[in-house]
Amino acid sequence: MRILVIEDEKELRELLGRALKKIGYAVDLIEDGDEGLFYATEYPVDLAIVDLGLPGRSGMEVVRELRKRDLSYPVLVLTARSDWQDKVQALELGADDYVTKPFRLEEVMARVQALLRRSAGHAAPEVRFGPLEINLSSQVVRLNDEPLELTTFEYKVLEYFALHPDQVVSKLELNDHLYDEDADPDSNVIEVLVGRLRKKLDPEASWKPIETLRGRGYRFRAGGG
Amino acid sequence: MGSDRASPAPSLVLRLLIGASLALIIALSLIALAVDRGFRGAAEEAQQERLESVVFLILSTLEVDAEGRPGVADSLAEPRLDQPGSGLYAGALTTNGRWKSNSLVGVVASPGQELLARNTENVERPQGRAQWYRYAVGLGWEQPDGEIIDLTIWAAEDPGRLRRTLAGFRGDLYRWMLLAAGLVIAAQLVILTLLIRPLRRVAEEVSEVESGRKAGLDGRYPRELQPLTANLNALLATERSNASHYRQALADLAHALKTPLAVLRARLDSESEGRRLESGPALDDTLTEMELLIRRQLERAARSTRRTLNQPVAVVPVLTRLANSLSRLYAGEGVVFEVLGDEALTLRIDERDLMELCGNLLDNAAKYGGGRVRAQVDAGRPGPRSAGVQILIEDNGPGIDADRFEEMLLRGVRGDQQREGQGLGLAIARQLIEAYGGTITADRSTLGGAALHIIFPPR
Repeated sequence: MRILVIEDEKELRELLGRALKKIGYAVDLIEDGDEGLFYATEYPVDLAIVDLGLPGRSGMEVVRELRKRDLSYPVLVLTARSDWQDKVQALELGADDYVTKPFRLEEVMARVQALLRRSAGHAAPEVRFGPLEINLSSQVVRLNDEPLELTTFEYKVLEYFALHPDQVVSKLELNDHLYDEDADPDSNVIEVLVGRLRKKLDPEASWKPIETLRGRGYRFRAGGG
Repeated sequence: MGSDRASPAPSLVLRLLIGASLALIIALSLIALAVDRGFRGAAEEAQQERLESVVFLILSTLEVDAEGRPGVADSLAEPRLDQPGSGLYAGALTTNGRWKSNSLVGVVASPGQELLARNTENVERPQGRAQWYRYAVGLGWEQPDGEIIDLTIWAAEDPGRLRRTLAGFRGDLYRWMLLAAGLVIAAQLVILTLLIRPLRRVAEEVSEVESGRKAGLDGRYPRELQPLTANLNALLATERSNASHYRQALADLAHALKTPLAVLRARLDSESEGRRLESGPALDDTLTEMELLIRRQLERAARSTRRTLNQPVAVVPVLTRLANSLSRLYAGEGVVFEVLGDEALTLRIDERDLMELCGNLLDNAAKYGGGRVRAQVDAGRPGPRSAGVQILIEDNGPGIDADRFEEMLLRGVRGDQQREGQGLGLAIARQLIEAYGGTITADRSTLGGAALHIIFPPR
């Protein structure tokens, strides 16, 4: 999952970035509204965190512009104002949630996870696919009720599949959503990751959750193979 | 505040009308007196002249016989002298005899006359014992034998005629004066009403501004009133722009104060993650304290921008906007919001304040209720300028009993136990409700949970 953070305060931006990376998201950090809007429209973003008090183009304008351009991914707004008028205005413009400054990092992380989950149509943090159960909040994965150990990147791939079930996901798309702009991994890395994940999820090749579509990518089968 | 205003001073129109009418009455009375005196003087002078001409008429036809007795041979040119009791009388006398006009025949109290010294005259007016206007002149009459005897000729008139003339004149004078006074007062009333009309319009426009139907005074006003209306408009504009600048400044201040706090908190969270920082809890407490302090001061400052002239705000649309926004926030939890009531019901309140208090209460209902929130708006008691408004916010949660509700309202005021809990939101809502003279009470809802009744009195 790729998260865009638009926040003018450098230290806060970096602390948010670090915390988001720590729970396995690819993060792009932007400091002003105009550049933020460019990133938000031109890059494959899964969720944007927008500060309302940005210099230049305001956070409200960024959100309004995103929705005007039919970009429907979740937007979490950071605001120093705790008035309902501001909150309602931000929500009416197209924000999905808000966090009032000063906030706890864990609160922002929880809201990000909840928004991503909600945008994929899951109300509860636990998602079940056949023998597989993923807790998108605690990031704990269980297979046949046994805990399953996954590396950070393996989890990121699985989470992306779980949030886009039954959809064709290309290698390029996975690459874009799992890595931020600075990283430039070899396309083989994705193949290796998916291969490892397949073995862990289906050691006996009994339910074949990840289907390969030649030349097009992968499809995660919600009901199993 | 200012509810028991002193009764208003008498109206300007009434004051001007009474003042001008008094002056008019005094002026007209003086004029009437002067005209009356003038007319009376002229009438009396005319009377005197008439009597003199009668005396000369007598003199021109008078004959005195050898014994010195006066007499008038022919009938006189003044027919009233021959008509008994006509009111005009004349006579002539010498030491030896007297002559009286025929008009004195049968008159009991006839105006008698003494013989006057030669070359003297006597004028009498009806005052004291005298009942007549009388003119008498003393002459020397030369007899054919060359003797000169004393002769007095007099003429008198009953004052009734003059009195009737004067009474007729006074009647006319007072009627016309009264008519003139009536016309002048009516004209004054019209002029005053016309003069006062722009002031009335100012008052009407100010009341429209107050009730929010207008943003300023835009009527055409006479030059003399333009400084007043221009200053009023400038005052209104300044008040509005000050409030909006102040709010913007507060927003900037909030951003400037809270962003560094957010950095501190995020850094503390980030550094204390996974290990125990010795100063962690103390720093955390200090940050919470600073955060609350800033929030409370900003809220207090925001409250001071509340405008005195609030425009009426439709309550249902505000609740609907809040419910739509909250539905989005609580989409994951599946909370259902319902807003009922007449869309046209309005309340004179700052829209931000209405949104703040309803937002806090609806948010609490969504957070602590059982997934169903209902807001209902009804008209309250009718008042002098607008009816009150009742807002009912209900949920299907565990409910709040009345004693605990009071405690929560108070705890929220101190705000030292909870960071962003139910108490703080409730306390903010209560302060706002009370600032507009409203009340909030809690009981049980038909939905099964809490029902908060907010009642705003008519204003």
